[in-house]
Amino acid sequence: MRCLLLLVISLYSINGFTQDEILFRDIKEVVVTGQLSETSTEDAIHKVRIISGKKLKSGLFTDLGQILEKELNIRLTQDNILGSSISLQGISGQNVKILIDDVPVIGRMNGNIDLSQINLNNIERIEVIEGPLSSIYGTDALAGTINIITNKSNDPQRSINTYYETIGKYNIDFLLSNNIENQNITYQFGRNYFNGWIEGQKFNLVPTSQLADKKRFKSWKPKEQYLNKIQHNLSQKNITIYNYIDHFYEKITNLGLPKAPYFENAFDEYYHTNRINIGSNIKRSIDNNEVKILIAYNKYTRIKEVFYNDLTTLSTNLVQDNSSQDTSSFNLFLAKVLISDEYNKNLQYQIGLEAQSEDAEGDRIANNFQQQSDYAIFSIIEYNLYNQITIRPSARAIHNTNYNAPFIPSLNILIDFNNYKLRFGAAKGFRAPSLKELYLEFVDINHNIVGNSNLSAERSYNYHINNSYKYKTSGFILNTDVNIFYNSITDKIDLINSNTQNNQYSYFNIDEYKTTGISGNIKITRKDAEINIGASHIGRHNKLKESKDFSEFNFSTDYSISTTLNISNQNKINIFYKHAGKLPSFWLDGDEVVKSYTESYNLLDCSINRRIGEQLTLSIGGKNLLNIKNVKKMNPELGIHSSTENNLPIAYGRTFFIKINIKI
Amino acid sequence: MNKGILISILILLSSCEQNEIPIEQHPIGGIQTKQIEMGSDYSQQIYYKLESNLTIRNNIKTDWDLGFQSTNNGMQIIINSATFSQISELEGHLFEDPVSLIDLNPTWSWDNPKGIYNNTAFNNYQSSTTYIFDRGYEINGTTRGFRKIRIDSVNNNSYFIRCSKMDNTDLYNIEIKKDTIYNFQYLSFNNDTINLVDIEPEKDSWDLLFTQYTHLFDNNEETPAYLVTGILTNYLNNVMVAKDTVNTFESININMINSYNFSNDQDKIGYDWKVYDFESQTYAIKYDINYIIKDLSGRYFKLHLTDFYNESGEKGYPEFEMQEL
Repeated sequence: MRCLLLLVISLYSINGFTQDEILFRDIKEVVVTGQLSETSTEDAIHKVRIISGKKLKSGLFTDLGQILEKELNIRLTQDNILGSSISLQGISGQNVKILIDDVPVIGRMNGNIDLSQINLNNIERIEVIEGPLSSIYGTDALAGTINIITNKSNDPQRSINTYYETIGKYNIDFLLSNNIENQNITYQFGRNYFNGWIEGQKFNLVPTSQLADKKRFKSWKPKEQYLNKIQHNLSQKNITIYNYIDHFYEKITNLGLPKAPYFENAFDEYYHTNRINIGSNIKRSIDNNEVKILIAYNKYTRIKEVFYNDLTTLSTNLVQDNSSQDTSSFNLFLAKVLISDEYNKNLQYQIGLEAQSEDAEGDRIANNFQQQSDYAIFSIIEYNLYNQITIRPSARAIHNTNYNAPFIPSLNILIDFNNYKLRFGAAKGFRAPSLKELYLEFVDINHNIVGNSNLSAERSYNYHINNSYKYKTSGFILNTDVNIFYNSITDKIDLINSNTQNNQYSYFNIDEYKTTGISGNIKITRKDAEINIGASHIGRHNKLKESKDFSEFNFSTDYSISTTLNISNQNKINIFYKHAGKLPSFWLDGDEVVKSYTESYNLLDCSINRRIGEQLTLSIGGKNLLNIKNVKKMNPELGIHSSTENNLPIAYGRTFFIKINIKI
Repeated sequence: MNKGILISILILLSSCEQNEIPIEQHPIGGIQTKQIEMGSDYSQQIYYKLESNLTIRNNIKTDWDLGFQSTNNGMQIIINSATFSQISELEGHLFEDPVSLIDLNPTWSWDNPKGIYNNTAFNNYQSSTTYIFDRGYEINGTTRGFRKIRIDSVNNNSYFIRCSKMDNTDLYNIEIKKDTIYNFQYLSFNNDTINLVDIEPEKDSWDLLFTQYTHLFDNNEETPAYLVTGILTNYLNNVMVAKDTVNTFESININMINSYNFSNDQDKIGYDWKVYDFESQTYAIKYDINYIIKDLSGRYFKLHLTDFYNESGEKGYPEFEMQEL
């Protein structure tokens, strides 16, 4: 810590103040997700939450999971191998669609995408829409949609970022961008390294070789990520083309606990994930006619290897046991055409055609390979009445080769009284059964789990109301929002014991789930400061609850406060605080339904960004300043005799970081 | 801005995975170790002798179906509990009646793993009773089929039995001759025929049997019987076992023998010297359970399990340390 402080002080004294407006410039808030064309957030028919450059540039957040965790209505769950996943409006991550520039992210393990694999390098903004967008984006867009908008600007820039966090994280990335006439080519490289951590570990600025004893086991696994991306933009008068190819590689190392009694052998696991994304976006617009074509190919592979390590010689053997080694692979081809036009000034429409082919390979998939194709047509009509009311019906019809896909309608209404806006929405959402749920085949002497090819989609109905009010004076802008929502999911897919004779488990459309809630947000923006205060109150209801006389919904309340202060043109302070309230849940203990609680916790992050000269920006700060590690999960009904109290990992405690950005 | 400082900061702020330093191997004294190769599918039954620290013989666990007590006045019949086989009385039918399992609702029973004097599945069989024998599972988990069996008579020299498939095909009458140098004579229904097979070595040549076997749970209606992997003893020939979880393996000595309660239950060592850890998905050894074993010839040994994996990390290779007291 002391050496960090010295570094900070010495850097502080290198340079005086220079004027620079660009660093702290506000990015104009526009949104594309679910809209006919790029629209300002205020005019969008959906309530869209923008996570903008300000938050991204605070230096505090290194992956998508970390940045979403500070948002209202979102909870993050950590798994030391599967990574981090979110729930949105009280609904788990398998019902949340994650997009990068409108292309779905694949590689759902146990239904969830590992958000720590989604880096924030060269991201312009993140758009979050709560409630279903299934009529536009199809499956999974049930609880909400998160669309990551990458930076496609034509500014030629070269920069290096380096990041160190005291838990043992060392990140470096660089960006090279060049313009040739109206074309831009950008190359991006990133490497993120985490040395792993366990409670009680000694601080070590630079990792050194350690004895292969019990301390080799880490509860937060060592991780190494590489990413490479090349993108090409072309912009002409009526046409823009964006092409990209990127590769991501991650290795998670799980060194096992040495085995008793002599602690001379251990099972070491390695997880290798590769993601390849290739795609092209073409947009042609003449007056109000716009044609967008999107073609994308995504590949995801995850390999698990288990080695048996003799710790006296460090010689390793690949374990020859089929259940230890595992390879899963997914491929997705996507082609989408969107045509938007206006019939007259008050009537605009969009027609979309989408073709998708998805396949899954793996030892635990029937015949080791399964494939499905999905063809959809969707249409949006936006009708404007008296310049004040916009009514937007939309619908999607789908043909899928493997299951009976539902018809998906939705309706949105925006009533605009200038500073006061009222939005209503009623929408159907769905989640298609995954290839695993349809075709899993995991049968050996200990397991008998099979997919069910007769599954239908999980369906949901969502109703929501949003009130937005804006008050503007010469000194500040005040934005307030109040949202009320209700979600009801039926035909939820669950794994149950389908045949007690041979103890077979399979997937069925048997479960139901409901959530409802209210959230509010106040944002005050001044020239030199921005403050955001929000609160949410979310209730959850599941079928288990019905068997006992609990109230219909069980609520949890979260608060968040975030602020950015521009102390001068060179210095900026960012503070993010979130209180995650006590969270009730229900589970089966034998045949008995019991209620348990996850204790509340508070997250506080703080950073200072300082601009030094023309080339250098320094960010320092503290993450998780209240030192949260594990949160207790308690079962009040079983009382003090129970041993069912367990801990849920939230974070690895208080850390400090330094980030240096150099423009070359 | 001094670029040199910047570059050195960048280098300082990157890092990579470091190699580990190997630990030192534990000292090995006058203790003998042995690893028994049951295989990761637990297919082997292995007979072992303590005095020589050698495996005497091994066979595939599906090589036999029934065992017949081989002493002159013995008349107990055991079923192969390593395949999870089971027996039910065929009520209200003669042996000759063709029967279908679907119409029956058999109540299955198993041999008590403590040994033949603690109840067997055949129990007090009568020459008038026909039994349905479920042959249990092959090594790959498929079922091995059913047989009808009737024990016609037993005398000092032989058993006379008849058996057939459920549809009355493959009907055989067979005489099984006793031989007192063995505990049991073994019969196999493999290959749609009936054969006497040579399984167990001579009864005074082995102490321990490493095998899968059927464990019976008390008061558990849902899972009364379960296939486990463990160690059985030559209990019919005075091999006795006591457990010590208080003293360390090193500290146990011959002077402590009188304080132990020796048991001749066949499954006194059993299977619970290992536990499955769901988090790491591996078996952990309870190395602090020490077994004091009195062998065939009355010598005392101490033994504790130390591993369940071979050097390639495959399960099904129990390893133990033992020392004569």
